[in-house]
Amino acid sequence: MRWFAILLVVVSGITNNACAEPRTLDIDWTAANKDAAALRSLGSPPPNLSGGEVDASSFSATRLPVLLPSKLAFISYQASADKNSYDVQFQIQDATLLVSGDRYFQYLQSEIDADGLSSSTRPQFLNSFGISQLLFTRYGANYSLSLECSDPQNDSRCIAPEYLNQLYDSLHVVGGQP
Amino acid sequence: MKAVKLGIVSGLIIVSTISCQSPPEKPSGFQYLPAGDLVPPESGIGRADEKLYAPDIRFPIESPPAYVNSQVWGVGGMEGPPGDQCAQINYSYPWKDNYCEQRDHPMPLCPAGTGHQGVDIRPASCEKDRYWAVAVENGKVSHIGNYSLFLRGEETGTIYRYLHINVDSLAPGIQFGAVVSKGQRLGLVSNYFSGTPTTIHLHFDMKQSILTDNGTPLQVFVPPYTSLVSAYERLLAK
Repeated sequence: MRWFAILLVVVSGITNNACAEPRTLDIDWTAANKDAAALRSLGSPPPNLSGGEVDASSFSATRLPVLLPSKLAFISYQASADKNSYDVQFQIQDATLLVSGDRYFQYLQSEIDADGLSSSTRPQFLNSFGISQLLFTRYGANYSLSLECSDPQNDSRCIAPEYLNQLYDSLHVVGGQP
Repeated sequence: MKAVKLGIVSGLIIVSTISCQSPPEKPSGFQYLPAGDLVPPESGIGRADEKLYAPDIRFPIESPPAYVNSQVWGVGGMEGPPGDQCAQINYSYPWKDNYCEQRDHPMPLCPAGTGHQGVDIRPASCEKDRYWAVAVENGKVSHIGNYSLFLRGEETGTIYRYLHINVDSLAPGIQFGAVVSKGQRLGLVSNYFSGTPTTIHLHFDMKQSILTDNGTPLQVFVPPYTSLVSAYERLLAK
């Protein structure tokens, strides 16, 4: 009877887990704060975006470091954020740039049948369907830069990784809290 | 409901029935090849993975029928037999997986290490701007591009990408940041691809994160095919 009860609890847990909130990653706030402090020590605030400021209050409830590029000329932007993710979509000349971050994970490596999976803090460049992407991890969270060009076949920003790499190199923490 | 799963082994077609949990419903004639069976074989090395990476999603096109198959290797495709992309054979069962189809994108879960990030879904007929793509999960619209819409799932955190939709005629209320419900209309399936149109289809993929053994996450496009088969069977059973 006791075993049956335990089994019920286990089965119930599995069932409930399927409908539970997604699992979340632990954030390395020590590293994030260290980077932010290093930037402040330069004696000037982080470089402003050309085209205006992104309102950092959008990310006041976000529980991961919010990264945005500093070297970006944009026409307009829209931001959406919640506790575990954020998305900022910039309209730039002849393209849209999406900067996203989240602290979700869906699976442990042991739950996936795949050999040789390994993660790296180095960004992974993808170019498909005219959308260029850099996927990377930093401070334990997931981030991506996605660029969609109006003329993807001829716009070098959507063909080669250089443009996104430049943006990647200019990323800095603008918000988020533990 | 019984769906028919087809397998091809050494040129022989093996037919087996898969018992599903749904109650008996009208016969749909739905048939599908197993996950990872890319057709033709030279189109790439598929991933034979029956795992439901998104077990509860709603099928991304509002109404059946719909057909999963390759736009490149099917009739009229760049690498396919000559003919019209609107040929009837492209609008018939069985479904054919094309996740991991030959591409040069890095894809950690593809046997070749590179491949197609999702699957291609043709709507009921070869008509653009007629069939609705719908939200597969409750969530938030996280991006609207020139021909793309991303949905961030609320329950799973999965990023779903809908490509080649007509962003000029999105459903009412669909904009960046919009909170949407599972099944809600998003946009019309089309052939948008910036200057050069593609075939009329929905490219659908799913990005998830795997916490690797070294303690850092890895973002990957996971196989959607089996989850779509399951979602489609539920849709047909309604």
